[in-house]
Amino acid sequence: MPFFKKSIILLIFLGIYSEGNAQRIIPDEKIIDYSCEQKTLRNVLFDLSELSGVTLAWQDQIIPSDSLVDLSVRNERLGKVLDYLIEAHKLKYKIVGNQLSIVRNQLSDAEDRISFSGYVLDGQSGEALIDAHLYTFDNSEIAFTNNFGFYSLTLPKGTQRIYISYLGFEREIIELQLKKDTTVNISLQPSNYLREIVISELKIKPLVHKENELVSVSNMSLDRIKRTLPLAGEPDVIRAALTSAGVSSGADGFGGISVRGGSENQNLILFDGIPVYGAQHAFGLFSIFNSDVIKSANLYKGTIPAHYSGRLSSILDIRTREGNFKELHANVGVGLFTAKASIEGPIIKDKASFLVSARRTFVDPWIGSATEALNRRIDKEGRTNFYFYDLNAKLNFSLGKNSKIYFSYYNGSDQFDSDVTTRSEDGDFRFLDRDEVNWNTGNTLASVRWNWRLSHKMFVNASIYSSDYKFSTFDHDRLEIRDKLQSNILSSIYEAGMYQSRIQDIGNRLEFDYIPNARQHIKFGAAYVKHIFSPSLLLVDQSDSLTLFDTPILESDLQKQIQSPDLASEEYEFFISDEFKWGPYTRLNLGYNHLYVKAKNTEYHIPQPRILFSTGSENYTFKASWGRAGQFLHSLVNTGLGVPIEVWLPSTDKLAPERSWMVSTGHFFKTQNLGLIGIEFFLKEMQNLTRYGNEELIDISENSNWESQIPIGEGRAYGMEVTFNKGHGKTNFNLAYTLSWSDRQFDQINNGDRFRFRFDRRHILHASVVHKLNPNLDFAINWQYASGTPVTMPSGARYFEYSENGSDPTLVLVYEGINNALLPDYHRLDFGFNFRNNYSWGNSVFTIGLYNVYNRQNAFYREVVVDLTDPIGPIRFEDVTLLPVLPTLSYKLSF
Amino acid sequence: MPIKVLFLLFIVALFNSCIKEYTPEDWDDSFSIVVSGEIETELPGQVIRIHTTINNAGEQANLPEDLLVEVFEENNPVSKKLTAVSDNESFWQMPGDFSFHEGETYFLKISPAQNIIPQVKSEVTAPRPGSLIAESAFVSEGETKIEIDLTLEKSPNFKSYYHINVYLIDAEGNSDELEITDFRKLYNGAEILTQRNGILIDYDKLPEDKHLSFYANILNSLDIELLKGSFLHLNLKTVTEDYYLYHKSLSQLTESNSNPFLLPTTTFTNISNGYGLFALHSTVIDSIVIE
Repeated sequence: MPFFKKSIILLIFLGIYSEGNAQRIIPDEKIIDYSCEQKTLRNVLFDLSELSGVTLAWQDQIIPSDSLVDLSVRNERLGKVLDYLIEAHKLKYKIVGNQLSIVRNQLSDAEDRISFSGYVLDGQSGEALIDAHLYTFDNSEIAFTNNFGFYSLTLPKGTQRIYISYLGFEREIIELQLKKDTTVNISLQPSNYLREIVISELKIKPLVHKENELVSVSNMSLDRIKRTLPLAGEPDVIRAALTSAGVSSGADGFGGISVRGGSENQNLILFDGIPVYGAQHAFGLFSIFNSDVIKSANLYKGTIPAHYSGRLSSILDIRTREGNFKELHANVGVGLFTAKASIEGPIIKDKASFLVSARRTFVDPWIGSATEALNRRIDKEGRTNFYFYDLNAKLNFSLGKNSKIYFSYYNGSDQFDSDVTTRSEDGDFRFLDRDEVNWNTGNTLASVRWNWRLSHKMFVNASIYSSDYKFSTFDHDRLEIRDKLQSNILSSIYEAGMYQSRIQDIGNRLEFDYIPNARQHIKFGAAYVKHIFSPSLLLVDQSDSLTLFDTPILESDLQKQIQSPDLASEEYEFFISDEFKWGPYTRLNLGYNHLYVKAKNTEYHIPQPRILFSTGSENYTFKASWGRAGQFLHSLVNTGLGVPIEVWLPSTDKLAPERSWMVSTGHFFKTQNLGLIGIEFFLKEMQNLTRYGNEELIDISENSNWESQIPIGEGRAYGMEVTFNKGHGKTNFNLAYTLSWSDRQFDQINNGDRFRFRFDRRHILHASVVHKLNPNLDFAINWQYASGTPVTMPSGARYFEYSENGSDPTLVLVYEGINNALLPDYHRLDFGFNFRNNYSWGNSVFTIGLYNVYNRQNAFYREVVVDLTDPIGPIRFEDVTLLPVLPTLSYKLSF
Repeated sequence: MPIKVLFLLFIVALFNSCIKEYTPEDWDDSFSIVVSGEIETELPGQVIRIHTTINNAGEQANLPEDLLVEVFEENNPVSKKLTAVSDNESFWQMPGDFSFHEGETYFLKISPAQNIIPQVKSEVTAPRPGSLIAESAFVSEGETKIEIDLTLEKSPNFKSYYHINVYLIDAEGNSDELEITDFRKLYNGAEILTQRNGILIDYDKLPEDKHLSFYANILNSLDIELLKGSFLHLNLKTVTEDYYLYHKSLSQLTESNSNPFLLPTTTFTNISNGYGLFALHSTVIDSIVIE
């Protein structure tokens, strides 16, 4: 074919392609600048038509001839200007093709309203979209889809235009002729152009996120999770949460997260509604949540809505994907430490689907053989191994038009073991010194959820679930003395210990969404959960004669002996909330949650009122909230066997639940030039806190009086959060800054004086830039800064403490206060590139980057070093860093 | 060198570069008085040790020559003055006829004539002695430890704190303190001290049966048969809450303050403007036969 013809065809194709993918411009969405003084309405309409290039049609008799107009608008929608001009005259306009027709407004009866409901779905996969936004053009009516993609709207009878938007998808506009209550299911198409970044220069309406609604909530879409540069190539929802204002952690994410000055155990993580107790792999390097299965995650960090309860500080509500209802797809991916694969597809097209995803580390053989080789070089035998894995599985079925059932399962585990033996000789004897440590931790989660659209105004979800978290550690030190010539064992002594912590939840929940009219949204429901706690400890040595003299004790020997006390409690919950709307911008949510807890020999009632309010205008929102929260689960950290073990325990007659109250206010601005700006203030007070202890091990067996070991205290936190988001073309910039204070007070600790909370980091700043260079290449840069973590330092003074007979002096360093100093400030730069390729059979993403680009030595903790050969010499300090510069690498294939 | 080892060494080197020396900008180089005074009630003429802290430069101040050390009884403005022991200026002795009585409150005051070092004070109440209900001790062949079982009774004081030591009495009547090494199982409210011998106990935190079982070390198993029939002295010292908190903080100091997962411990003292401990205790000795 001649070149010229080819070019024409190509140009035509490009033109069609461009046209097909350009934003559709609706006539009334044209943006105009106009001003006039004392002009007749009719002439103003002529001017507007000429200015916008849109044909305006009307019958002369309906336009009042004596109506004079003074008007001055800039950068305003044509539709909004027309409404302003004609509404007072009981007129409205309709879109007819690409022109606007002005007619009499027949609809005057405010009660003549129609309800319609349905689901918003991903047009390609058929999966429900959570928190999709539905709205009328003037925002007079707004709805968001719930956790199952369900929405409900009530609008005046007649022709209505609804906009539906969701990040990463093309905005949809539908026009409905509302005559009676009806079902409208909406499918949105993914936008290749919009995927991965936000474009906020949409002239029609900027995207509205759920976080602009009542509560202090950070919405983490899959796009945002993946935009947060992954550590070692593994995107992570918890690390994404760390980039939100008001959230802090220890260095590099270790040590748990603290939300608005709360303790690490005050955050409830829900995985498809199932509470998760051990949400970390590798001590916090990764979370247990495989990003390939996550659909959305919302972090509630302020006054929590009434349908959530159980923790004082935050709720991280993670929802998983259902699997593709239309086609079979698979993904495989590999990062620096992990490999993963998933497969999903329809069982019955558009009616039933499945999703299975698995992830595992693959470096364990390397760790094992490398440690074995290293040990040989220092005359030791043995190796160290570590791995983790997780498995997610889902089945989903539609039972008719109004009902769905979901089956979810998760299983994951971390396993560490080290077995090292040192051999030595002395005279006629041979010595064998063996040091063995094993620990494993894991979760098993399962749930069945059923939801039913009872009517266009009522949606119900029922679920039953179980959550099982286990931690077990085995420590074994053995010394054998053998005859050098005959190798028989002359003597053996050993110490072994096993510590286990387990919490099992079995629960059910019934939740209703009732939307009686356009002005109200009522949620109510009830839940029950039984908690079974199984902490157990067993310490043995050779005098216990559990094994033969010459036989090393095994982990299984202790497993047979170990017993755990029967600690159980039952929790009943009832909640109700009613959200009232006045106009497009004012909302008041009144909620109440009541927790009743039944534990051994006691019971507690925890009333939890919650009030959330917001008002404002199109470009400004004011928010305020107040609420109480209760938490009857406590957790302690025991480290006696060398590793930190989190032990979950119930409130008892000697240990009351933790409680808090919180108030927050905020101002949020939408500006054309500066994007979205938010500033929020919070104040939180907490009572009956039990997190702390400086005992290495606590015996939690029956009648052990363990509650007396736990100091009870209080805490407070207050501060300010500033967020900024600006998108321009292919670039998006985000900034989150927190200025906060947080402290604790326990009578038995620090002489009863208040001390800084260990996550009290005065300033925290996260800044990120994401830029799309072309459809196949984008990069992201993140920079994080945080004030140093509080740490306890000796004053420099010391003295000698003598035993009663005056001998054996002990050097005593003077520590005058808890957390009386700060580690150096933390800051870190990460960057990464994503290279994308599309093939006929699928696509690939290759991610490469660097974590901690300039190798900042961010201290994790500070060690005090005293030379025991010179005890009055200078005290030295060493700051220990966890993560230096690390490459980020991952490759993912989807087909 | 195999590539796996090289790789691991590289990783180890990379992470070892993650230890960085930190030097504080300024240290407080002043000196404070340290009191080591653990006094037995009803026993006259006892001694307390007074010295000063050592700063980070390794310097230690001398006590002022005109130091005045006094003890006051409650509601008695006339003090008992302690005198420095002539061959060691750190030791100060109570007047020969003076002893502390159970249930009474006393004040210690140390005043330098010139204000080189601030005046220090302390207030103590002498505890009334508690007791043991039952105790036994036995040894097993092939073992190097004596297993000791005892049950504690609440003392007459508002709160009960104890410090237990174990002594072996030989045939000649000589007393040899044994090292307490470990418990039979984990007990809340009891811990084996690291800075000195013995078990420190908070009675109210013990398990409900108030029973303890622990091991004390003997030198070698050849002595086992000889030990049977010997006497063990269980030294039950009823101590004050200050004594308990002080020795507990010393015992935990090293471990908790270098463990990033544990709450740090401050150095307890009941000496205002100073450090150390001034405390009274009442001792009861129970004698048992090793089986």
